[in-house]
Amino acid sequence: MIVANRYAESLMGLAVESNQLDAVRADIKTIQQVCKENREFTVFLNSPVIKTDKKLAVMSNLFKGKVSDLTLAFLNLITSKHRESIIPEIAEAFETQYKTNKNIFTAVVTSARGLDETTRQKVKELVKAQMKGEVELVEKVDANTIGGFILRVGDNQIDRTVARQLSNLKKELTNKAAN
Amino acid sequence: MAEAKTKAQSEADRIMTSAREQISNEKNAAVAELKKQVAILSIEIAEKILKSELSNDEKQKALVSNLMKDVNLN
Repeated sequence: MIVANRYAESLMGLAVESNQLDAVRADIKTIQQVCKENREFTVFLNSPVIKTDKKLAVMSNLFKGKVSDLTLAFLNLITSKHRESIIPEIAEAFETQYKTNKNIFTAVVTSARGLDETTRQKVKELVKAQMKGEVELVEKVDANTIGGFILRVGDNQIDRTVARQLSNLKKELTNKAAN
Repeated sequence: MAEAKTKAQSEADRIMTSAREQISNEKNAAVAELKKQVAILSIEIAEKILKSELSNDEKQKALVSNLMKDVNLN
């Protein structure tokens, strides 16, 4: 979403300028957490019935002391511009831009039974070395993979699951049978 | 008379040839279908074996770290 991207960009700029990038990122995480855990909050943000001054008051109550003054001022600004409904998108866009700026890659690893600490470190090192950046690991568990793993970094997906190998083999064998 | 006989013979030959062809085609199709069934069955068996082989965490771990070796993201 273009508007969300622009707001995220300006917040990023302000944060860098005032040397508060990491603090603001933590704030963004807090906001995302609140949006995720509290459906009523997103309904509230989206509500066209609730007046702006009421929204401003709730926002202050909710986030004052929990986020930096910069982030709070930014939330107030967005709200007074009647853009509060896109706060979740702005947060998301901020997160993406932050990761791009800091060269952080998200690696999603799907395995049949989860990873142990050693394997986790191995994956991180592998991605770090090959992508030449920092890594944030997201783990998923899917028993249907049977064994092995799927590693996804950006648009790149590597499927090394037993399920995939079996399905390839099945394709190959049934094709052979047809000829 | 001789002409009628030859004609009947060639007609009989034609029918036989076409019957043989049909039998051969059907046989081939049956063999192909059978091969396919065997392939599917074998994969199902392999899947069951692999599932029970990999029901142990150590083996899962070993497999993952083995497969990790030649991963190339670029």
